[in-house]
Amino acid sequence: MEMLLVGAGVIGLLFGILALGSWVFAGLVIVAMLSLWGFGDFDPSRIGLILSKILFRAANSWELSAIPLFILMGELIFRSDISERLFRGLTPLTRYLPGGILHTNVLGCTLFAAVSGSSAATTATIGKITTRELAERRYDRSLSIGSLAGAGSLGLLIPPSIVMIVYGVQAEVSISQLFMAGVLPGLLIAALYIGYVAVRSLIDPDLAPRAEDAGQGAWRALQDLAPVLGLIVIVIGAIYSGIATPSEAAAVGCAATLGLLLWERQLTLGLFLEALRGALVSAVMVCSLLVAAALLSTAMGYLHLPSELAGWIAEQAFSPLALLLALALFYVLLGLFLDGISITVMSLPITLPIIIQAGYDPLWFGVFLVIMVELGQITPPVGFNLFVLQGLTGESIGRVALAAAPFFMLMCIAALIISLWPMIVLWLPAVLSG
Amino acid sequence: MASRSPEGAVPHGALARAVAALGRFSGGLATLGAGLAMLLVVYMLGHILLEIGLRLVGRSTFILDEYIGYSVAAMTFLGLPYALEQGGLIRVALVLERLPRAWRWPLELIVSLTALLSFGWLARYWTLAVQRSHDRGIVSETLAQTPLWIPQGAVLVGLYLLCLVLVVRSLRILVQRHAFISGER
Amino acid sequence: HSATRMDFSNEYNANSIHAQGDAWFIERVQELTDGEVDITLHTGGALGFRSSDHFYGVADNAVQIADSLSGALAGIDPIFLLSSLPFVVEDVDSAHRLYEIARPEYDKVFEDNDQILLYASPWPASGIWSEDPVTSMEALENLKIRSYDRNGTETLMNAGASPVRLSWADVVPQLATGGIEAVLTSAEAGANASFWEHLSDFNAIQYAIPLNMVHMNRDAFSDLSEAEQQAVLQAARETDARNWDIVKQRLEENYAELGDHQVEIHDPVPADFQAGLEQAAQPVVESWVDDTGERGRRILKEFRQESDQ
Ligand code: NA
Ligand code: NA
Repeated sequence: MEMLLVGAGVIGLLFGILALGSWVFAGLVIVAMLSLWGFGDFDPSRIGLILSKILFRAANSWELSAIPLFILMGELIFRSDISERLFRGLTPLTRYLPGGILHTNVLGCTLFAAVSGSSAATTATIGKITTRELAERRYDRSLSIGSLAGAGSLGLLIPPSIVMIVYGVQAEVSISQLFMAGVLPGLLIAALYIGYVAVRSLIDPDLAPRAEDAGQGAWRALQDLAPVLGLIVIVIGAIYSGIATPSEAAAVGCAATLGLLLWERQLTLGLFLEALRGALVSAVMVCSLLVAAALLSTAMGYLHLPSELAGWIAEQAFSPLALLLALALFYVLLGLFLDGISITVMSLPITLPIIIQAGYDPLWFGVFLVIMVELGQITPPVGFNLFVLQGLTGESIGRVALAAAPFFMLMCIAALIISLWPMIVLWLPAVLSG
Repeated sequence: MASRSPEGAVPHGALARAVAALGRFSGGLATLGAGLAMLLVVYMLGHILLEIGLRLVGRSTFILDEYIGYSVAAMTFLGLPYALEQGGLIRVALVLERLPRAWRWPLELIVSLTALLSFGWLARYWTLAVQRSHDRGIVSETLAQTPLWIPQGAVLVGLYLLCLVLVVRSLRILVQRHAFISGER
Repeated sequence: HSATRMDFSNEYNANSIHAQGDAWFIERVQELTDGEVDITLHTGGALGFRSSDHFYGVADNAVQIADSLSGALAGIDPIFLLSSLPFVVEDVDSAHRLYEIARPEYDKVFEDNDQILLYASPWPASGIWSEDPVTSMEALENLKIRSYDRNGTETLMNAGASPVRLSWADVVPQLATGGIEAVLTSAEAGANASFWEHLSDFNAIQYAIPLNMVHMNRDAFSDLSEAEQQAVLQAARETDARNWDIVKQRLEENYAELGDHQVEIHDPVPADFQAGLEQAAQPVVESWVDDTGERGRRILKEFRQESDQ
C-alpha cells in the first residue's frame, strides 16, 4: 500500500529533521515542502505559491486570539501573589488526599477547561501558575509535568471547545449537544488522573512530600482561593449569560485579572510589561507552531494521505468494534504529526459515513474523536501540549513525552470506557434537552 | 556580541566586528517588531472588550473578527524574530546535545540555513501576492473594505525580519565556529 | 498513460448542497472521460483555503478547481456582490435569469485572470431565523441579528435592526446564551446547525439567493485533450442545470424538516413588510451600481425589463 509508505516517509522525515535540532516550527515547514516535492512531484515554485498563501490564511484567524490573551492572563496571575495563594488555599483542602497539592494541575486544568476552548491555552495558563510552585515544593517533576500534559488537553473535551465546534459544523451535529456530551467524559478523565496521582503517591510518598500546613482554617483557605475561583466564575458567567462568546472569553479573563490586580494594588506598569513580554514570546511560539502545522496539513491534503488511509479503512468491511479500533489506531497515527483540527477536517468526509453506517451515534463519535485528538496533543514528535510544557519547564521533549505516557494510557482507558458505556456521553444531552 | 568560550577561541578581526554590528542591528529590529506585536496584543484586548460593551447596547464595530484576525497574523510574524533570538522557540536538539562542542557548529549552520532557505522561499512568493494585492487595489469583502496589502504586508515584514535574523545567525556561526553558543534550550 | 489528476477545493462540509453538486460534477467528468480526468474533492476547507483565497489560488494554479462563495470575491471585483444584493430577485427562477444575464460579465472577470467559470451553485434563499415571528418592521426594531456580509449589515441597519457580525462558529453558542436573537441565513443552513434548539420561526423574506462559483485554472484546462475539454464543459453545463433544479427541491425538503421540528414558517411575509425591507435595501443596491459602473447598471436594467414583461 503506497500511502502507508508515504506516511512512514513523512514521519521519518519529521523525526530526522527535528532530531537534527531544527526549531519545531521551521521543521514542520521544511517537512511540508520536502513532502510535496519528494512524494507529490510538485515543482518548487508551486510549493512556494501554495504554502505562502496558507501561511497567511492560517495565521489570519480570529479564534487564535484566545491564545495570546489567555497566556497573558496566566502571566499576570503568575507574577502576582494569586498563584501562591491558590496553593496556600489548596493545601488544607487536599490534606487527606494522597498526592496533596499535586492535584492542583488536574483540578486547575479541569476548571480552566470550562473557560478556554483550546488545550494549548489551558496547559500554558495553568502550567505557568503551577510548575514553579510545585518544583519549589519538591514535588515529583515527572508526575507534575505528566499530569499537566494530560489534564491540559481537557480544554478540548470540557466545553467550550474549538474542535467540537469544527466537528459540529462538519458533521451537522448540534454544537450545544456536543458541549453537553463532553462534560461527563471530561470529568471521568479528570477522575482517572486524580486516582492515578493519588495511587502513585500512596505507593511512593516521596513523590508528593506533605506540604507544610500553616494550620490555617477553612475560612482562611477559602479566602486564598477566592481570587482564582472569582476569575473563573466571571469568565464562565460571561460565556453562559451570553455577554461574551467563547472566543471572547480570553479577553474577559484578562480584563478581570487586570481589574483584580488593580483592586489588590499589585498592578504596576513594570509587572504589566513583563507579563506582556512573556506572553508574547509564548504566544508566538504556540501560534507559529499552529501555522506551521497548518502548512504540513495542507501538504498532507495535497498528497491525499489522510483521505486515502481513511478510505482504505472504509473498504475493509470491519465489524463495528474492529472498525472503532481501526479508527482509533488511524487517529493516533495521524495525531503523531498532525494537529487535531486538521485531522478532523481531512478525515471526516470518509470516516463519518462509515461510522454512521456501522450504527454509531454521530454525537457519541464526536466525543470519541475529541478524545483521539487529545491523545495526539501528548504524543511526539508533534504534540502541542508537549511543546508548551517543553517551553515552560526547559525539559527535553523526550522527558516530557515520557512523563505524559501514563496519562496517555489513562486517556485510552477512558476511550474504552465510553465505548463500552456510551451512556456516559449521551445521558447528559438527553436529559438537558428533554 | 562576541562570545567567550572556555576553549579561548575568541573571534576577532574586522569580520567578527562587522558580524557583531550586524547582529546588534538585526537584534534592534527584532525588538522593534516585538514591541509592535505587544501593542497588537493590547489592541486585541481593547477591541474585544469594546465589542462586548457595544453589543450590550445593541451596537457593533462590525470589524471585530476581521481586525483581530489581522492582528493575530501580524503579531505572530512580527514577534517571531524576537522569540527566536530570545530562545523562546522550542527545538528538540536530540543529536545536538550529544555531540562534542566542537562538532555542533556545522549542525547549527545546517539548521539555520535550512530554515532560512524555506522561509526565504515563502517570503519570495508572499512578496508577489502582496504586490498583487497592492497593485490591483484588492480590499477585504467586509464593511471596512480594508486594503489587503496592509495586513499581508505586516506578515511579509515579519518574514523578511525572520530571514535577516537567520542570515545574521548563520554568519555568526561561520565566524565563531565552535565558540558559537546558541542561547536556546 | 495515466489519468490527469486534479484537486478541487471547497470550504463546505460533504453533505452541503455545494459539495454534493461538486461531487456530481466530478462523477460526470469521470464518466465522460472514461476516468482519464481524475478530480479529488477536498471538502470542509481541508486544503487550508477559504473561499476568499480561491480566486488567486486558482489563478496561480495552487489548486486547479475551486467552489467559492461569490460574495467572498467582492474585494477583487464588486460584480461578485450581484447575487447577494438584497431583494433584487424574488425566487429561484428570477435568480437563475439574473445569473444568465450576468454570466458574460462573470466569464470575463475569470478569463482576465487565467481561469474559466465552470458553473454556479445557488444557495437556498436567505430568510430570518428568529425566536418570535419577524413579519413587520416593528418586530425588526433593535433585533440583535447576525448578518453574513456587508450588504446584509447595511440593509438591516437601514431597517432599524441591530446587526451583529460573528463568525459562523460563534453563532450557535451565542444563540444558546441569548447573545443574539436572530440569524439572517437560509432554511437549509439553519437546519444543518439545528437552529430549532434555540429558535422557533423562519421568516421567508427572500432576502437573496447568493451564488457559489466553481472556477478552474485555464492552463490546467488547456492541458487537457480536446475531447476531455469538451467533456469538462459538458459536465459543467449539466451540473449548472442540475444545481438550479436541486435548489428548488431543497427548499421543500428543508420546509418539511422545519415542520418536523415545530418551526413556524412565515412564507410569504406580509406585503407591507416586504416593501419596507426593499426600501431599506435601496441605498445598498444603488451604491453597488455606483461601484460597478456601467456593467452593473446594464445588468440590472436588462433584468428588470425582462421581469416587467
Ligand atoms: Na474547554
Ligand atoms: Na502528537
